[in-house]
Amino acid sequence: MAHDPTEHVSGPFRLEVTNTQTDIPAPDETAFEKGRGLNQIEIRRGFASARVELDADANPSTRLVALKALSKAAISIDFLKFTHDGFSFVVAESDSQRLIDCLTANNYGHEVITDRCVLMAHAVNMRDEEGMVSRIVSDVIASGVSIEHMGEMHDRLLMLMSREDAEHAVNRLRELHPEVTA
Amino acid sequence: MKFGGTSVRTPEARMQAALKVISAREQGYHPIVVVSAIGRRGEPYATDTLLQVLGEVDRTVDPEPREADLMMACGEIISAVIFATLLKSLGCPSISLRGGQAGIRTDGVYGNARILGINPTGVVEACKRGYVPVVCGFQGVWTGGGLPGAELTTLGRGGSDTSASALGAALRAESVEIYTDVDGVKTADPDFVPSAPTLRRVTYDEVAEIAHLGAKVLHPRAAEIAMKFDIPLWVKSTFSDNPGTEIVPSRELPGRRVTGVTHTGKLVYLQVDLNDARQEHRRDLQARIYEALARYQVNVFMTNLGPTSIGFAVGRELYPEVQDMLDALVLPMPGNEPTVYLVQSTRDETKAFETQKQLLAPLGEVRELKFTVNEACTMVSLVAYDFLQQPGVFLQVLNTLESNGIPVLQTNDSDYSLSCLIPESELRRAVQLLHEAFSLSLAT
Repeated sequence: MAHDPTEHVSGPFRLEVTNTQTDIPAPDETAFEKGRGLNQIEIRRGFASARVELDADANPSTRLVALKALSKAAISIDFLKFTHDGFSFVVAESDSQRLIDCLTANNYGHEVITDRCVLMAHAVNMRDEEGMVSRIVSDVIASGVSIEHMGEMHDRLLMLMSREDAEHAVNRLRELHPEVTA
Repeated sequence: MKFGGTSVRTPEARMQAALKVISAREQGYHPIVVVSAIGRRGEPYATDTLLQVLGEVDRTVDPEPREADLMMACGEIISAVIFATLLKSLGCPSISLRGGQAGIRTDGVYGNARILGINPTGVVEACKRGYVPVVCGFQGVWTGGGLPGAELTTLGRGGSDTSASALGAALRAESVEIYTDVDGVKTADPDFVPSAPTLRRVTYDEVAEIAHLGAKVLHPRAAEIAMKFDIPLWVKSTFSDNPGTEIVPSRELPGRRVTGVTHTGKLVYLQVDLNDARQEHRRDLQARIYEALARYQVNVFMTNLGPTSIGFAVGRELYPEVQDMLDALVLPMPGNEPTVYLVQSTRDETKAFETQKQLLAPLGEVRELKFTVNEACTMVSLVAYDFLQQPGVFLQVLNTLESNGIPVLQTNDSDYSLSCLIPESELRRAVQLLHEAFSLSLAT
């Protein structure tokens, strides 16, 4: 069959039509994705941070024994981090007295600090934006804030700090990223 | 209906995919197809292969992002043309459309563009005329380039999933179906746990977290768009008739559960010791090290900040760059007692380092910051919904691993996941043990 030179001129829809149903809506143009980078800041209040001391040369089973004591006391923990001389974590502030009682009863050296907040920096698709996590952390620390613990999930970075520091960090991040909602 | 690289890799696979499209059409739907490039790394038309060909032109420089985008987009164009032609050969009228022709408009960030809007007139028109549009995934156009016509852009990792989800949202589709080579979202990597069941339903957040932590089921951007526009999203197999996994909003799937076990690739864990730093300098040092990581655009995992240390993991492929950046990094701290900090790997105490210390001495007191490196790590994660906040979950995870001789080097957690840094050699066993400990074989 000879090639029809008008085909390109009249466009591909000139090809044979087999179905003329027209029940598909033609919506208006819509905004889709959130912009890259930080787009929301949020503070969760009501946490306490805790540090449990273990012998520097203690084996991991010692850590498990301590965690078992917390579990037995029905204390829920977050942000567990291992250090060379023990471990640290976060609990709900309402659990802090029970935590102190538990650690004292089990003879663990400890420190519990109340009035902690979790600053949540939302940034969609963080993993594919090279350097973004480091940038947020750097901005927060450079504002004079002490980050005590950190965690992350697919769309946000979680940083534990004092209430005063959290308020200061929010103000600083809003200065640096005016588009952010808080 | 989006078909990934493995679904369009061979004539047989493409036939399976085409039959799915034809079946949907016969059921009275207007299927709109989005395709990825054919095959995976190393295969002739795969995205990585095309990029490699371009890179070989001049190995001394990276290709211009604009040129790289044009090159990479060829993979999807080839795939879409072949797939549309296959559909036509099967008696199904079809037309291939580039991302721009499908109305996908992006910002101007080559290689990782974000979708700004979609005007799907071309797609709608094709459907009205009875064609099945086959849209090139992973690409859109930026209209601000200053040249006649629009600039082609690519959407970055998972771009074809994102194209499909966004088109589904723009067209208010009945559903978006992501076809791949597995039956849906599994409770673990089937290479590690062959009996891992397919989840019938998971939430957008769970699947985004699973993807964030290493599984390659669905890109979080696609989930985010579907969630925002409330579009039902499915992950299905091209090669079976199993129903697959439906991705739903949290309100439709309440209840406490463990979703699955996932894992990342090879990681290197670095820990900078700040014990030798002056107390008043520690915070500044932390900020400046993270600032350097941001400047070098290093993606970090397992970030850990303590009063006397900084810890983070990076992908193994990035480690040489990070090592170059950190090793012999000089951090001067002015003040009443000027101090210069010199960063050094603990395993590389060279004579050059001593020389550098002597050279820096006139600037102030020189102190060393040592960093340790654990090169053979990986991360195994438990993903769950409304579960991890219960007392004893950390204990159960650690006990499962450590009582079986798998050391946990560090942990990281969030509302949806609990991750453990472990030796890479133990990954398979760790995934299997956690899968068993949390009874995931019974998950539905």
